[in-house]
Amino acid sequence: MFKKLFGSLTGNDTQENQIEAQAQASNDHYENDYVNEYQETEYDPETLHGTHYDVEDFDNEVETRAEAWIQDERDSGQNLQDSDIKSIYTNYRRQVYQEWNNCDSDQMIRFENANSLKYSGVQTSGFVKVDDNNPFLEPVHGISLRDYTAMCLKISAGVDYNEVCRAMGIESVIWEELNTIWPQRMGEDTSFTVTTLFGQYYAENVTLPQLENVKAEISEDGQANLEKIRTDRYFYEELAGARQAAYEYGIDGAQWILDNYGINLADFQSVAMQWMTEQNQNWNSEEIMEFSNYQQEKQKEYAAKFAAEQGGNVADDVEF
Amino acid sequence: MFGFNKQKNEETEIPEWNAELHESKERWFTFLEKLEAKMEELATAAIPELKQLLQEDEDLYKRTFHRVLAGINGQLNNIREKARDTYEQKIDSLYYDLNAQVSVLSPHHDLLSDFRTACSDRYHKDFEGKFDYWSSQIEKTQERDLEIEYQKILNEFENIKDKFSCKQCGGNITIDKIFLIETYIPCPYCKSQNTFAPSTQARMLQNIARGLAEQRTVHLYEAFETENNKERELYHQRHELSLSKIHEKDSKVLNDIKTKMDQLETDRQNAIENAPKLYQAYLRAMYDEWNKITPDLKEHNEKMYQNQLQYK
Repeated sequence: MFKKLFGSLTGNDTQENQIEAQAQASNDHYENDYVNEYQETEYDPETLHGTHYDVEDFDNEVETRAEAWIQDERDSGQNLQDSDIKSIYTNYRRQVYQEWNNCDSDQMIRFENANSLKYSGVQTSGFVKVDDNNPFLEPVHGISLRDYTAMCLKISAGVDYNEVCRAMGIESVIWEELNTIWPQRMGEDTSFTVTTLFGQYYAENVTLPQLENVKAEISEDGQANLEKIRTDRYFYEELAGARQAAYEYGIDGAQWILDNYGINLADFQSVAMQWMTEQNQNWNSEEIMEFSNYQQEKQKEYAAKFAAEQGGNVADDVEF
Repeated sequence: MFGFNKQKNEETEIPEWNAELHESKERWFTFLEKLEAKMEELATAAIPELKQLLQEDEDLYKRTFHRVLAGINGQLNNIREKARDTYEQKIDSLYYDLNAQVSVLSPHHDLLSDFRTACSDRYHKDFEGKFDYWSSQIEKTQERDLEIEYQKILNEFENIKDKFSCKQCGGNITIDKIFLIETYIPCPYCKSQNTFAPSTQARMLQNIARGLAEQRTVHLYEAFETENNKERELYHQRHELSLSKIHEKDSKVLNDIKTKMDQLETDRQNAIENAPKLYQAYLRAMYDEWNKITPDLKEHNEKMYQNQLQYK
């Protein structure tokens, strides 16, 4: 029965499993042109705090309110855990921010994204703040995280790693060490600085002079489609939906995108990261919802197409 | 007179819409039965094929297997979605339609709520229960005995460890441990650097190491799970008892109930305190086992262990 359902099982699957979808998330593409009903507040571009108060006063106000509540809870015999205390602080931070800036919840989320490292110890893509002496970012064998990302981009685009090593002037032993140590650091770093920065470089499609001439093959159509998913959010969502639908019908979605649109996995993921970073920076729940619905709609359309190719779904003949 | 008779008729006569409810309920039950049969048919045919595929898939990442597994899950979910959409269109919408016409004070409103409860239970409890069952049976096809794979790697290592020689002077170089990645090894005789490249199979050791460690410590994880689930179970038992007190007048019985409730609460508090300890015991044992399998990753793993302890 599976021959009929899934067609050929022995396709070329070089595209799969290289990088798991780091960024399925939908996001939006607009240059700060969202409608903010509460325009009167002026925000610091870095911290997104209103400029009409001091950050220190803000933090003090949050602390006063949170501590009063915590004291109350303890007085009534509640046993508070660290996570409870954290969420009490988060709630008051939101409350004070919205009160003092008279803003909507989207602005509040943008503020939280911009300050995630300060308040929750975790980086957010699009707002990474890097300390010069961060030991997790020390180059390995002279290869920085940015260099490493540039190498990964080439390899996941389909270039043989030996070719990338030659261009960088390193031996494959060194590459294997890099490819062990950087992922280990990503795992160890609880602030997610390494991971988030890797994702950001990936979205920027960083490259190095040494790697300029090392190119994955890309067709003319592929190039045009790639340009289109970078600029046309709807087209990106359509392909993301199609890819998802493909997996649900036993098809290697990444390979399907390459075969039909000439876009390789590295480029596709890079664009996904690009949209996600922009979404974090310009948080707008209405647009996020719109794109997410659009992707689901497209996913359904493609699912119907794949089902038809495979002779239908198993329960198609069951009627109410 | 005074319309009493009319009211009486309204109370006793079964309303017309009841036939529609009845028919929809029948159809719904039959529909779900058919979908359940499809689920069973799909799963019973897929499970042996998936198991065979996993065994035969030569690819180290078992990509073909995973692709087919995703397809089977896609079909299973498709059946589930069909049930959900039909429930909304045929059952929920009929209920809301009639609910807007029939007052909650009407003596016939019960017919309506009974209809909804019956259809909902048939769906949310029975059908979803079967879905969960088949879904987990399909998930289980992924399980493989990692001891077998580990043994293959060990055998291979025994076989190759004395067969490596210096490319400069030809002297024998003993490989003293399983390397996970390409590594420079100095020749003990002429001191020149040799690059040792582990086999594809040996490289896989770092991918299966954690799974193998988990497999070996699963009994500790299960002990934690059992303890962790006690909290809710004891809470519900205590809650049941507290309900039984409501109409009880006999002070001796009341006292008995209270004693039982206090005991349940003590047990519950103990479970809350014990569960994290059991989790830590599991975690430590799992990491110890992991470190035994891949000693080279110990330094990294220990940092991961500390993080996991802190953020659990």
